[in-house]
Order: sequence, then structure tokens, then C-alpha cells
Amino acid sequence: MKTLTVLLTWLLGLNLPTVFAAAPKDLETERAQMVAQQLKPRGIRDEAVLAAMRRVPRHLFVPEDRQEQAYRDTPLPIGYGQTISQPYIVAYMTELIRPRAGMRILEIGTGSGYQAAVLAEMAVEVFTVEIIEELARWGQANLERAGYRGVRVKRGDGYFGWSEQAPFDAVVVTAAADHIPPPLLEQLKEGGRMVIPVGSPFLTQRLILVRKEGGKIVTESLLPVRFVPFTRERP
Amino acid sequence: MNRPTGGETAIPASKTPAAALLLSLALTSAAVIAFQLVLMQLLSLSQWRHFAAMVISMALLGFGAAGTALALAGESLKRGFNTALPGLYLGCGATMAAATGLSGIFGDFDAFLLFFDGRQVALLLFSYLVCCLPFFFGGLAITLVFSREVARIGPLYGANMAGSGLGAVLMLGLFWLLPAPRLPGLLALLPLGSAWLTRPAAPVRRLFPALWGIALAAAAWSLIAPSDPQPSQYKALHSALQLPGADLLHRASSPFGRIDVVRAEALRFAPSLSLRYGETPPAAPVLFNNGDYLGTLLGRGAEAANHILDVTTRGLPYAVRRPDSVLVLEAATGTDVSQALAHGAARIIAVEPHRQANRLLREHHPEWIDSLYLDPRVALRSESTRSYLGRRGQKTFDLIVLPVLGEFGGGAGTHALQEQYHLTLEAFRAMWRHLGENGMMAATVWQDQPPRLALKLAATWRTLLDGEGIVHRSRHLAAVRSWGTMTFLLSRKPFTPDERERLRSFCRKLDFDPLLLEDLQPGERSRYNRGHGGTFFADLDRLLGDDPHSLLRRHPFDIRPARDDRPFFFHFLKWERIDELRRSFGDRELPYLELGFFLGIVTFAQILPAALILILLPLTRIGWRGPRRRWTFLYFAGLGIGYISFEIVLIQKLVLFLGEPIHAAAAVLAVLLICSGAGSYYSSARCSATAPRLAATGVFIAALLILYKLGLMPVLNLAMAWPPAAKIAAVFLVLAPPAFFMGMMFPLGLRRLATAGAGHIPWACGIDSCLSVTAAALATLIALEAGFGAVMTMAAAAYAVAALAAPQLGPPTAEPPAGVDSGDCPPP
Repeated sequence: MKTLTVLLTWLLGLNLPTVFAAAPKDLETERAQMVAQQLKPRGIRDEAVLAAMRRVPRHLFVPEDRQEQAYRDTPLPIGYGQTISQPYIVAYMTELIRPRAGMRILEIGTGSGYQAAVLAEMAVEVFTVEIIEELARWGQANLERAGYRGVRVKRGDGYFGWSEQAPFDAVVVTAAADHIPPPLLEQLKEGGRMVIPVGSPFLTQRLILVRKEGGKIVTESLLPVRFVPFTRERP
Repeated sequence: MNRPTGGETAIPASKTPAAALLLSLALTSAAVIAFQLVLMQLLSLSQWRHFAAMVISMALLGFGAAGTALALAGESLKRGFNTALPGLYLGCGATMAAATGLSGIFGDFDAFLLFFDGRQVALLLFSYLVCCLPFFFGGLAITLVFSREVARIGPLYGANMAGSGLGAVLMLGLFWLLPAPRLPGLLALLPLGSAWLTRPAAPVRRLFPALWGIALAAAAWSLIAPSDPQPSQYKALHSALQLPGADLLHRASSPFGRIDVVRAEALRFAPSLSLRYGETPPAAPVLFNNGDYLGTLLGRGAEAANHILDVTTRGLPYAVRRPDSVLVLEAATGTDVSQALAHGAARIIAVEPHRQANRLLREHHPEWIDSLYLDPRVALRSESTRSYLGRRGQKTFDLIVLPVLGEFGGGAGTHALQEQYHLTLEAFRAMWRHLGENGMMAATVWQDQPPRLALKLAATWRTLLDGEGIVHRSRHLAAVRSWGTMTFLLSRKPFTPDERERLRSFCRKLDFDPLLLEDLQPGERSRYNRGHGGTFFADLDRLLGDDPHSLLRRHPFDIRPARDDRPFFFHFLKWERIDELRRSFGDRELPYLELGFFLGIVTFAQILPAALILILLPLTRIGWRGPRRRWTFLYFAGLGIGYISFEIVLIQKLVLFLGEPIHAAAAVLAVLLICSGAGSYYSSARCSATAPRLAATGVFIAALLILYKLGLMPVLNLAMAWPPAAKIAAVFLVLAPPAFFMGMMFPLGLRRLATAGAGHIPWACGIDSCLSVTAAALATLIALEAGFGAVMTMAAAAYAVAALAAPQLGPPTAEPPAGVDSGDCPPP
């Protein structure tokens, strides 16, 4: 009976928030709430990351008809089968690669441009590659509209990275690929970090961190906090 | 002349000749069932199979709505029968021709966004409406004929059933001849033919040809210039076509779906490649089936040098041993075959059920895969895994390679409700029997999060080893993992120390980690690839340890082995843990854990209230209270639920027997419907609709279904190795008896009801239709939890209820309606 109640609650409540969306609040307040309610409680501690997330206008990086949903705790479709990641995932990925002012960071899969904007906000030099021409144009336009003109966008095959600008202190791969391209590892500095989100578009994704340490490449599968812990019954 | 049947106003006689009426009914019935199959194909291409099932279930409620409409406005339709009937046929044909074109006019619906975007709900409702109309008009025409001509119900119901059965067979041929988008236009010609056969006399004689001509033009337009379904943006084909320079090399349709071959420079083949690999992986065209990835056209993949798969975990079996004979299951485009060739295997059997893809790669474009399937060392078998493994006397193999399980990133459970007979415990037992003395099987799993695929595989293999009496499990198991995949080996004989060392060397060379090995050392599992899902290692060890059952019970996901009775390897959700998962993942993300399962729930949750409304609405007209309301409901509810449940179970069982879902569905529909039609005709000619006869037939069917539950598969297993024609004959012989008697129940019930008042008849037809659609949705959910055996029990129970209700449908000694031969048939 409890299961039935849960299912009914879920079925009845599923789309109501979208259909009956509340009137938009002050966007700056929404960003502050996003940081306070979605990022800090889940363990994002890097003040520079939190500050960047507070400043970047995420609503400028989603399709116009979804701007009201921009600060929700969820990914959003941006067309072409792509999504803009959930704010927490963007913050977590950013924290993982430890960006500091002056670093050179390569992003594969510009998409909406939001991840590049967050990195640019932290005064790093951002290079981003997008294979789908329409997305590359849209992402670049979003970045310019939001004032991040320093981000360099290239339309091209992310598999090859951006050899002319290599090496990079970090690489963020946001495009779905079932392999990690060798050129990206080559273009990563010794001691550099690469982060790749893996998962279906509307689920919280698993992150894979790749580190290059003393000629050895180590991967680490990281679990976003929402996955754990499962409450287990005691045996 | 027919007497008025329960109505207050005399209804004029039908002017349509009896033969024309029967033919019109058969044509429209054939079109309706064929249209259902076409819709399934089109929606499977643009979306997914579960979504297709959801839309079609709702659309089939159009049949139920027809019964409701007739109960509410039946008298006027019956009075205007000679005009109404061709009008309804016309409506059926016109909406069938226009349905696919209309469904996209307000934008493209995407099932993936359904739980995410409120606007998709509106698009979905519009899709329901558009798809529902042909079924509504067709159903209304059929129910009108049944209701109006109840005295001839036997032959009419027989024509309806036989036409439906032939429609299913017709589609098998048409899918080969024409692309699916053109078929609605072609099928629309059938109800338009029905309309012409029953065309009205004056005063609408002049108007009718004009309307008919317009509908014909719509059908012709749909046939010549159909609207092509666009795959969802979340389908692999859509992504591939967006790549720069993407080139569509080939497109063709068949009953197996639509095949597309796409080439692009950025389509590279390197699934979870080792990070040690420094070369450029090969770019190769990709073959898609219904928009989903089927395989990469890798060809021989550098046969002479290192094969690209050797730098993934899939290289493990060849690193450990040198297999001489290899069986590749679900071989698709032959990437595993090319790997086996590269390692010098002398005998390779590739089993792939997709005949169209096989024909394409072996006969039409062998050059796409470097003539891999023409190599004398390779034998390609176009059949299902179970069909191949079911043959006795097959040779044994050194290595059996399973298809890669799951998908990169873990997917969204779009295949959760899809039966996977090649991954059941029974399938693995059959594979074990096909292993030689030094044989092993290899299965590669994409890492998912939370981890469930590998755990279910481990649980299955553990149960298999227990059954084989192998106590030292760890000696027979080995596995390695990379950053993206895990490959498991299960060997007949224990791995030797040399083989274990070769495994470790393979791992060191490619930065992989051993996952399962008899002498695994602490810390060895996480040398290169760390942190995989909290308790995953412990869970894996527990599953292979002394007490796996406590973990199977406690685990938040259902990781029990899939079995032939419950063949859903990719279904993991437990009802009782949904609340816990909801708290962990959130309301919106929850469905994407297993989209197929949630679409199944949504389907049932939509159908149930809609069906209840459609059943209750006529009572506002015919009255809530009456001497036989509840018995009419129970009888026809029993028939609707029983028939469809039996049909669903049969389709599932025959997928296993015949090897592929499309032929299984066509065989079941054809045999069941045609034999039911024969039963119906026989009942009309030879049987009186007395209470004892109906009750006895119902009890007999219920008993027969219980017998089938216990004995169907053992009997079919005896014929598993027979040639296809003999298998079809076996299917006919096995299915004909229950189908024949089930076909008698509906017309006998209607005839008995007619003696009590024909006002019930449309309502009864509506109950049968509505509850059969509801039961279809419910049966899927029951099968997930309790297996298809439970669905068969439900079918038997439903017929038992109908048998109990039968005596109350009419007066104790009901006279047959005028025009019906009262000669009696022998009891079943």
C-alpha cells in the first residue's frame, strides 16, 4: 500500500511543477539560493567555485523557453540531444580540476557554454571545442552575451583536442564518448587532471577523474553525493 | 427479417448483402490489426518500443470507446445502419491514412522528455487522439455490425477474427516490400474497400463517392509521399547524423525494423579503450536498427596486427587462452568475429537473429566488413541465440562470447521491459553445455551507476555453478575492469596459475585491474581504476560467497538471475524500494533509472481510469441497476482479460520457440485469431447459447490454460530443433484447441445476452475491449514481478469467472434468436 501511495504521489506530482511554474524570482537571489541549497549542503567547499557559480548567469545559457527553470536542481535539455548539466555537477567538476587563475583549461563539448563561463569567471584561460556547428555558434553567442569574450571557441572534432594551444593544466570532457581520446591525454600536463561525466542525460552523472602522475595514468570513479548512502537494512 | 432486439423502435433491415458485410468486416479487421503493427514499428523507430506500446495501448481504447459510443447513441446508428456503416469505414480509412502526418503538426514529441517537460504531456495526449481515431471508427463499425446483426454473430465474429489473423500475416510480407511510413496509406485502402462494399443507397448516393474519393486521395498521398518519422534526439542515429560530414550510406526497412548505415570521420570505434593506447582508433561506419546502435562496420579490424578490441577488457579471453573454436552470440556486425579471426580461431559460429542485417553484410555489401561473413572459417547463423543453443548435437566451443551488456554511461533503462532470452539462467545453462573441456564464456559489461549489471551477471553465474555442483567457484571465475568496462570469464575447468599470471600481465600492460581471481591480493582491484561504487566489491564477493541470498533480498535493486519465465535481465527496480530510490535520486530523475518500467506504470495508470470511465459511462444511458449488469460485466471482463493475457504469454513463449519477436507475434495472432474465428463460426452453426454450455466451455478453457501453463514449454522444447515449417505446424497444433474454444465464448455470450436485451450488447463489447487493453498493461507489470506463469494463471482465473457469470447472462432456458440454427454441438 505504501508503494502504491508513493507511486501515485509520484505520478500525480511529476509534471505539475513544470506545467504550473511559479513566477520568476529575482535571478540573483535564485543563484544565491542555488549555491546555498544545492551546492554547499552537498559538500562543495571551494570558495572560488562557489563565487563563480554565484556570479555566472546560468539562465543565459539555456534555451529562452526554459529560462525560468535555469536554477533548478536538474539538468535541462538544450536541443541536439544535449543537456546543460545540473548546477551541482558543474560545480563538482569544476572543484575536481582545481582551477586557479592563469591556468589553461581545455573543455571538450562546449554545449551551451555554461561550464566554460564558470571556468572563465575564475580567471583561467579557457579553450573549448564543439563538434556540432549549431551548438558551437549558440554556445559562443551565449558566452559573448554573458560577457565572457575571452573564452576561445573552436568548431571541430574534440577527439584531437587543441594541439596548437597544448599543454593544458586540466581537461573537462562534457561530450559523451565511450573512450578517452589519446590526444587529450597527450595534451594534459604532467600532474594535470581530466574529468569526464558519464551517465544518461537526465540522471545525476558519475564522474571519472583521470590523473597523470609520474608517467602513470590513474582513473577514479567518483560518486556524486546524491547516490550515497543507500540506507541498508542490517543483516 | 431481424426482430427488434431490445430497442423500442423497429430497426430497418440491412440492405447490405451478407457476403459483402462479412468481407467488409474482415477487410477492416485486417487493416486495424495491421495498422497496430505498423504504428508499433513507426513509434519504435522515432521513440522506443515501450513508448510505442504505451501509445498503442491508449489508442486501442478507441475500441472500448466505440462500445461506449454505441451504447450511448446506438439506436440512431442502428436506424441509420445502411449509411452509418460505410461512413464509419470511411472514417477509419481516412484517419488511418492521415494519422502519421497529423501526429507531428504541433511539434515532435519526445518520450525521453516526458517526465521532464510538461509540454510533452500535451503532445502525448494529441498523439493518443490521432492514433486512437482509426481504432475508434473501425471498432465502432465492427461493434455496430455485431450489435445490429446479433442473430448472425457467429459468422460475423468469425470474419472479424479471421480478418485480424490474416492482417497480422499480411504485415509480415508488407514490411519486406514497403518502407513502414508508406504502409498506413496502403492499409487505409482496406477500410475504404469496406466502405465501397457497403456503400449506401439514395439519398446520400451522390455525396458518398465524393467523400470516398477524398479519403482515397488522402490514402494515395500517404502512400506516395509519407511523412518520415524522425528519431528522437536522444537516439544514437540522431547524434550520428549531426556529426560533420555524416553520410547516410544505406536505409532499408523490414519486419526487423529500419536499418540505417552512417559514415562520419568522427565515428570512431574504441569502446572503453585502455588509456595506454596511443594510436588513433579506426573510424568506421555504424549500422543502426530503428535508430539504435547495432554495431560498427569494423571489418577485419587489423586482423594481422593487434586487434583494437585487444586493448579493451574484451581482449581478456584471448590474453588468457588461445581458443580454436569460438561461438559469438548476437554477433551484429561481427566485431567479435573479427577479433576471433585475428587470434587465429579455426572455427567461428556467429549467431545473429537480425536477418536483414545479415543479408546486407553477407550478400549486398560484404565489402563493408571486409567479407568477414564470407570467410571459410566463419559460419553465420540467422537465428536467435536460444534457437541455436536449443539444438541437440551441436559442437562444443573453446570460447562463447556474449554481446556487450548495457551501454556507455549506464543508459536510462529504455530496454527494461524487453525480454532477453539469451541472458536467462536457462540460456547460460545451455551455453555451459556447449563449452568444451577447456571452454569458457566471456561477458563484458559497461559500468553503470549504481552498479547492477555486473551484480546480476555474477548472481546468475553463481546460480549456474551451484546447479553444476561446482563448490570452488573462485577457481572458475575471472574478471578485469578498466575505467569503463568489466569483462567476466567463466571457465569449465579451473584457471591455472599460468593463466592467472597471463591475466595479471594483461592488466599491467593496459592499466586494467583484476576484479575476480582465485588468488586476488588486497589492493589489487584498485591499482589503476579506483572507487567503483561504495559496496560494489563487497557485494560481488558476497554474491559469490556462501550466502548470496541475504544480499539478493537486501539489495536496493533486483539483481536476481533472469529466468525464462521472467526474462527481463535489464529490469532492476524493486517495488518496495522505489520510495528509497526516490529519496536518493529525486522525483524527476527516478524514471530515468528505468524508463521502460516507468512507462509501463504510466501506461497502466492512464488506461485503468480511462477504461473505467468508458465502461461506466453507458450505464448513465442503460441504467445503473438491472438484473444482469454485474454478470454481463463479469462475463465480458473475464473474456477480455483472459484472452489477451493468454495471447501475451503465448507471444513471449513463442519468442523463445521461434526465435524472434516479430514472427512470434505474427504466428500467435494469426493462429489464435483464425482458430478463434473458426470456433466462432462453429458455435453459430452448431451450438445453442445455453447456460450449461457457456459455463462448461469456460471451465474447460480455464482448465486447458492451467494445463498449458504447466506443459506448454516442455512440449515446445521437444520441437525446438525442428525445421521452421515443422515448428510452425507445431505452433498451429498446440494453439488451435484453446483458440477454437475461446472463439466460441464471445459470440455465445452475446447471443445469450441478446435474449435478455440487446441494450447490453454494445456495453458488453466495450467491456471486453477496455479490459483487454487494461489487462495487457497489467500483464506486463505482473510478469516483471511474478513471471509469465502468473499471467497465465490470471488468464485461467478470468475464464473461470466468465464461466461462473455465464448462467446469469440470460434466462435459464434461453431461446436462440431468430435465424440461428439451434442444432447443438458436442460439449468440449
